[in-house]
Amino acid sequence: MKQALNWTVYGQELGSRMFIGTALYPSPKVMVDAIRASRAEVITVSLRRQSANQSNSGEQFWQMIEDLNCHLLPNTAGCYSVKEAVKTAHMARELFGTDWIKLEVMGDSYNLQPDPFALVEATKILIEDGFKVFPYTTDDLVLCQKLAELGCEVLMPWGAPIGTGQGLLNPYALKTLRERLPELTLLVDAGIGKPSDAVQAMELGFDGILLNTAVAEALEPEIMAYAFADAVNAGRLAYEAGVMPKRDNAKPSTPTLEQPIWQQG
Amino acid sequence: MNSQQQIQFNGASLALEQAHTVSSLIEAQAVEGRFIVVINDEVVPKASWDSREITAGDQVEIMSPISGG
Repeated sequence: MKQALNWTVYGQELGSRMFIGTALYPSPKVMVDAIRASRAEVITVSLRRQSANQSNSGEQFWQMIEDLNCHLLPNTAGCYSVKEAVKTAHMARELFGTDWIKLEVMGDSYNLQPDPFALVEATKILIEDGFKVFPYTTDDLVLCQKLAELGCEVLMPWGAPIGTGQGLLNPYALKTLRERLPELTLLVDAGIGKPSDAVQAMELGFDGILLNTAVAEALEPEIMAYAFADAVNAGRLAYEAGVMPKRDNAKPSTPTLEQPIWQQG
Repeated sequence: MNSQQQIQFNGASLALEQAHTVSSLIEAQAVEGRFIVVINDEVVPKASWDSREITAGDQVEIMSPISGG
């Protein structure tokens, strides 16, 4: 099968254009099988404080992600303030040994919508601290422009709120981001529910997608991961090939030349 | 140290019977696996674990990897 061209993220060359999360799978084995099937080279991870009576809770998970041999993208999930997010990012850098950070600063607990003001402030601090920031953002153009001005090479606008599987709720906004920020690496993060959502994002010219729930909560996560891998590749190939423009009027696809006169016109 | 020192360890109160560095504390608490140490909201680099002394009132947190989206 033909594969889309390689790409780079903060200087790191990658083949797969799908980032995949490590949460919500029915078992660790299912997680590993699904991630392998996805062909993803970047996986998202998180961190938490050990409970008072559990002194090695992270070890099993760490062994599994080491075996997967993927690039790690730690997140700041659960942070609602600049201070929390910056602190979590610094802890993640120490724990995972990477300066990549998926920056989440939530503003609303109902739909897990990013707080744009806190996101900009935290991004500024973290870039000054040497992080390579992957901001989880809304699809607001001006916000994304601000994040780019601060030095983000990658932006990750939502397709829909996290875990909803609603697909791309505002394709117009996402298309606008692609058109107005042609130099940036853009991934749709959150809201992808089915492979056709991923195809749509890739056909719009997004460089990649990040998903978790759509695979982890499928009845067969491993099979769904295969489906998404093919979808992402198909969507990217379509973008590279150039999708035909829509027309208002029909145009025959079969040549009319040499047809009997009563079948022409 | 002549008397017990109270600290917070992973969110719970802990009375220390003797003086501890970060290294000796994590050994005494049998902390294993992949983790980092955060004291009073600041990451303590591994290179400082042998020299950083635990003092009364410290909030010590052991952070470990978990799954995430």
